[in-house]
Amino acid sequence: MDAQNVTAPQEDNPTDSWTVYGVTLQSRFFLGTALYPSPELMARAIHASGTEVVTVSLRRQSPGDRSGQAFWEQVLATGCHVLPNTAGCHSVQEAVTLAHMARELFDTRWIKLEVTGDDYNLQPDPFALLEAAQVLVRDGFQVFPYCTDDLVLCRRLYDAGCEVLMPWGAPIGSAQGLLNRHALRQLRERLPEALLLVDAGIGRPSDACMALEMGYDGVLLNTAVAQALDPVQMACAFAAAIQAGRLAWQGGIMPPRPFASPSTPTLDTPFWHQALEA
Amino acid sequence: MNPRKSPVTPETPTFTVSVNNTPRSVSTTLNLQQALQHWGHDADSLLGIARNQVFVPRQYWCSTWLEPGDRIDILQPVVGG
Repeated sequence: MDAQNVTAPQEDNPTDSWTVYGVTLQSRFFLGTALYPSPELMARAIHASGTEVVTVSLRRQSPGDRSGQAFWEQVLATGCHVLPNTAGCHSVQEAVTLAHMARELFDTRWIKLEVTGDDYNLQPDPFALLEAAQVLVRDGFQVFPYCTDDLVLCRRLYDAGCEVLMPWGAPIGSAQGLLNRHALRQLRERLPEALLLVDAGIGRPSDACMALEMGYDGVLLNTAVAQALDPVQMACAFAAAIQAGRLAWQGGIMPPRPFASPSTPTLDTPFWHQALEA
Repeated sequence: MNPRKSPVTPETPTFTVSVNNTPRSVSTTLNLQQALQHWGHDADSLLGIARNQVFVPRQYWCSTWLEPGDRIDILQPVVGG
């Protein structure tokens, strides 16, 4: 199947809304809340991005520390849906426990499931990830697994009940872009029913645009915006790139050709004369 | 009525648990909710608790009694990607 045929342009849906675990969204841009120079810039970048989903996490609280409450009030003020993550977990037990804590604190069944298998490149542990996803789906969670671009893993996660899959473009925070476009395209082609978001590794707006051009339903990123010289400007750039990629996908991108093909009519070309017979 | 719910006195026995990876003492008369306050955490704020890596829902804090050597994790919302 050609990737261009996975989803058709939605002429009956001019706003191009989409539904994620029963929640209708307009934006295809999920944005993280970490690494901004200040809470104020975080809020402005979130607003500029037009995102409707932001990621958050949980960490240990020191006695007397009330920063968590203040942060939560900032997140609430954005009006965005909250997607808690299990970042830092290395086992099924850790991830499942943290997910349950997040569900109570943030009052959501959504969980961005992360189970790290390697601390150097923060690569997900595919075996623990699948097991944790199976447990959490049974426990009533709506799971967004952060995974590699392995087709079989993604299919197993989808079969386990993960309606959304979030393969990496490159290691977290690396800004290397879409390192394995072939694998990402394969996922889109082979899992046409799954919602696919590229999560992690995106550095430039063109990386995000490319993901959407490939038929991905959205992207999740954080560092590329938060660590930009001007996070607000970069949030706008990503929003525009994501919209461009989506429109291009819907428009149907022509396949490349190995030869030239003139776009200007060749009939009646001026100044062209057959060579006169001698 | 739980026999451990007696007034705290200077002679009240205590034991040690690990709270966020730090050794802390706790009286045998305190339930988890009271222990949180004792350790300086506002139990009414946004907190998530795990005991020995098992989630403890807020509704059970008052009926949870700690044991020596328990590992308690007290978590709060933070930024995340």
